[in-house]
Amino acid sequence: MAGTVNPAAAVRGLTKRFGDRAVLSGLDLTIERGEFVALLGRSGSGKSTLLRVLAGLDAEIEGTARVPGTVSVAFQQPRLLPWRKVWRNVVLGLRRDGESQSRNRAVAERALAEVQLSGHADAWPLTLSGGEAQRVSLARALVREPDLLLLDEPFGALDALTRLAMHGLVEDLWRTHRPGVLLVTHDVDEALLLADRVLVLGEGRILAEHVLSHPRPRTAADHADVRTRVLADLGVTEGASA
Amino acid sequence: MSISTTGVLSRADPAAPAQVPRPARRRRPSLRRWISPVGLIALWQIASSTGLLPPEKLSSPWTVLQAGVEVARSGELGDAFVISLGRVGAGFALGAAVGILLGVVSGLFRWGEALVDPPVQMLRTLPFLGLIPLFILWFGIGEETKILLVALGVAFPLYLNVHSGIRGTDERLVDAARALGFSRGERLWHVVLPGALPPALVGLRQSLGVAWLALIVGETVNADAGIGYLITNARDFLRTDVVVVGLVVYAVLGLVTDALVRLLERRALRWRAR
Repeated sequence: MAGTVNPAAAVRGLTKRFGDRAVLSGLDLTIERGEFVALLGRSGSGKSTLLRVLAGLDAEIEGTARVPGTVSVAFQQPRLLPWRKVWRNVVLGLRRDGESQSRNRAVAERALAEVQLSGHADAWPLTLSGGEAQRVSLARALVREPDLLLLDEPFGALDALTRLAMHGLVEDLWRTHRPGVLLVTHDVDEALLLADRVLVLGEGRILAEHVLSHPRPRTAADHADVRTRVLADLGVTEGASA
Repeated sequence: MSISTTGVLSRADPAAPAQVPRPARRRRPSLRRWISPVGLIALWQIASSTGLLPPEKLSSPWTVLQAGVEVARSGELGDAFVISLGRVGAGFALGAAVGILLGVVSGLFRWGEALVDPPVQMLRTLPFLGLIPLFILWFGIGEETKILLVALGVAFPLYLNVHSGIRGTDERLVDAARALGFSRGERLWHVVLPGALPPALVGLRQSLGVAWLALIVGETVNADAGIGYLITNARDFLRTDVVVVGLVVYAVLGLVTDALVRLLERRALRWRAR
């Protein structure tokens, strides 16, 4: 996709070194507003590094990484502040708006309802299950009405059933709020299910790009052809026919 | 403190329906745990009454009780209590301020740690009560020595726990806060310091225990007022009953402060999973 006037993220010639080793080298990437992009890559390929740069957590880079609007991140671990009640965690990223407490509370309640956690507003985070905590983390990311939503393997630590439910939830939330999404994952099927575009990261840059056109909601079989090619990009040849 | 509630009484008898609320029952300490303390005091009383335990070695519980009432009525005990409490209060405030401040500085800043931590770690290995002779030479035998002794004892446990609490900050939470747009100061206030609170409270409990110990030693070495003075003075007149009264007061003060910290912990750490 050629760069449009106002993308959610525009990365040009991004290089990131740790000591002598360049994890990312000359990477280009554009994420349009409202576009759902999945980023695949073997472990150590720099997926998380790229995400950290886009999240503004790592500024020591060469090249440019422009993220014009609001960014939110949901990490693999929910990373809730355990000493704040659930609803306060949800509005953590809002507090500077000078909004009154009760307004924030209402915002939190609405966001929690969206992730099907009504009634948990006053719970302590440590009393939640893994899936519940991850949904709170999603709510916290979304109340900021981000232009770019970064998802760092957010389903990686969840059990298979919870994971399936979360896929549906993320799709719904994305349809409602329409942020640009960068989903970092190592799960090919997850990427094929959710994304408009699948990118494969390797050798420090985007090695391959696959546009997914099948209408949603999709099933696992919808992009079988792309799946084979993505797996080949990742260097997996055996078992690709499954 | 050891006479705490155990499961003995709260273990419901199987016939009772499970839904019956039990908090009232659970709060009552098990009576079984009182048998041996009461028995020991009874033995003590018998030994005293039969002359097996002479009063110049140890007075009987009954005499101790009477002596307690006596010194309390005369106002001696109250005065001594206030003075000792004041010493511990002043020493604790000073030591806590220094310990927490140094702990925060060395926990937060690399330079702070490089400068502060080595000397503190070295001094920590020194038994601080061994400094009494020097303190007497430096500050005399007045209030300063006692207060500073308490302060010194208090500062170390707080320093160590605050320091390690801050060092143990979960960097992933800090990152998450940064991604949400928290400034450095906000991250410190909302993430780092709350995370360091549980270890800091452990340090608080340790330091309060040390504070009473330091006070007792300081007051026994030299005092012209306070509970330690009451005890020393009683010793000179072979009043073992009053000595025991002083010891009991020390013990009660220790228990009360410990209970206060526990209460504080329960309030401040409500968020921890039960």
